Amino acid sequence: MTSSLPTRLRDGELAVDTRGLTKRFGDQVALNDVTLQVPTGAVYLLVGPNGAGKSTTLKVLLDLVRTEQGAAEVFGLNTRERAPEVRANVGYVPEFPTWGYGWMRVGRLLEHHALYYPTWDADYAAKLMQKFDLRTDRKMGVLSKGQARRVHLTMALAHRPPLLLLDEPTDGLDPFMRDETLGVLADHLAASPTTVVLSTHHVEEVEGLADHIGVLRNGELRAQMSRDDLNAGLRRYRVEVPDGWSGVASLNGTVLRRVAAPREVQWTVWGPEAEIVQMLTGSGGTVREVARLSLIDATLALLNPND
Amino acid sequence: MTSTSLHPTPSSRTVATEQFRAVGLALRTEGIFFVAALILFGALIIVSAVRFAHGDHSPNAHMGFRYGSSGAIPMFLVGLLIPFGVWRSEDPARRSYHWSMPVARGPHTVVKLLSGWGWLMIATILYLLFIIAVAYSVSMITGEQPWQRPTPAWEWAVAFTAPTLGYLLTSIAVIGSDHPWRWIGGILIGYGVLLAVLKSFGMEDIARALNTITDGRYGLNAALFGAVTDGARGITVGVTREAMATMRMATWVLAMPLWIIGSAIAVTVASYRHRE
Repeated sequence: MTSSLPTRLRDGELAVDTRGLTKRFGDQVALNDVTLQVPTGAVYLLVGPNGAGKSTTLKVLLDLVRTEQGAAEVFGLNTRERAPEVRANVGYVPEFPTWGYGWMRVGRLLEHHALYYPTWDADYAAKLMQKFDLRTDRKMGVLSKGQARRVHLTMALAHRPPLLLLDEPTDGLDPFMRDETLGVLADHLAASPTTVVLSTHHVEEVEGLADHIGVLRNGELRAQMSRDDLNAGLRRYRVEVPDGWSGVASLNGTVLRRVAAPREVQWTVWGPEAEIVQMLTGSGGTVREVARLSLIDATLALLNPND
Repeated sequence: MTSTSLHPTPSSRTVATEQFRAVGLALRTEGIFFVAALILFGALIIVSAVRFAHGDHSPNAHMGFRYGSSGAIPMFLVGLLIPFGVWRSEDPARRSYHWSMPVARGPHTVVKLLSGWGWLMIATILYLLFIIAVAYSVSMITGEQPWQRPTPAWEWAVAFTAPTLGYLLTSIAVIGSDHPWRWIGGILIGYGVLLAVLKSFGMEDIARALNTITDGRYGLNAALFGAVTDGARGITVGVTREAMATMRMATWVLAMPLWIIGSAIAVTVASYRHRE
């Protein structure tokens, strides 16, 4: 029996639960039967190449995009039928910097935003503005991409929502501010019980935060699992092979990547380590190294289109 | 069920109040231009009145005001333009901030629409107060009666309904489309071209039927100002001024609600339409 990549989480309370989301934009399939499961309290990293459907998935959760098939729930609330309640419990950072009113001053926009969220913490908002080095007297429309992103983060965090949907939250930030932002996010998670769905291309930045991962490719959820499961199930095997080696008939797992060099082959495989080692050894190879993958390497392996 | 303590949505009153304030802020530049235009216009009239009072006029000249339904034309034009300010930088493709707020999307759009209308009505009141103030100022300067003839109540009401109708008509395009200017321009040009083509091909009956959209008994002109310019109805021939005013009011009373209700339905449909 071959171990396939998991696309369902084990039992537990879910903050986000989607079933069979399917969305097309014209001929293009943006989402194909996506069943996303985000446990309450998790920091869920949603990864995928451009156009994989990450932003669309987040928009579906806010009812900004409607699917042709499937349903989504946030904290048990149907996102289409109870959209205002869902949005009241979500802090959203969109991918594009023009979100908000370009003609409004930052301070007035925050005041406007605060009135829509009864739980808005004005002191916390002021602290965030200070940390993000933002001025309230500037118009939104003249801010740089990074500055706009920081205003959006303030808007998302200051009402202390139970769910954060962050779409490329560090995009456009300089290295110092990126570091500061991730620190703010870590502090926020420590102080407020929050579930986070985070979409980013900078996987290495959130290695210390993410405890779950979902991999989208071509609109399909290829895998989703906890970091513990990822660490337990995904390995890179470095195998020395003899001349004229005929290869291994099969591995009891999903081969994500195979790199061949003279007298050595590397496999990245999802599956039970002991059985895979046994099969590689049985085929005549000598297993020289079995290594865990960093989050970025695991992500690249899971996104590899050549499996 | 969830163990998470969920946050409440904002109260309708808070949302309505804040939208009214925010829309007012969005229209601030237009408001400044509007007030400046009124001040400039008022100053010109006062200067004319002062000259008139010093005898700088022909012996039989009078300087009094006559306000009629056509006095609503400036506010009608303001009503046509205001939706672009209310929804500045927020065509449907860019409305995700408005839509991502914790309020039902349709009612939220309607609240914003009503906020813009509220400011338009405030501007209309200001406009009418300005006219009254200028009329009495001129009267004080020249010593003449402020009004050449009394204005019937319905003609004062036109000052409110005409901009309302203009506001609703433009709002349909602004709320429902990413390219409102294309729609508005396309409809106006298409209408004009179609009429011209029909007339040039001798299809006068069809052209006349089509023309009733603007000039018929229930046409746009009737709804805006009580005006029916269709000569076949004989309204402007052989009747006294009073009788004509009564006819115009009757025309307006029938056409105005028809257009306003129709436009309100269309703008509500546009507001509740889900756009991605």
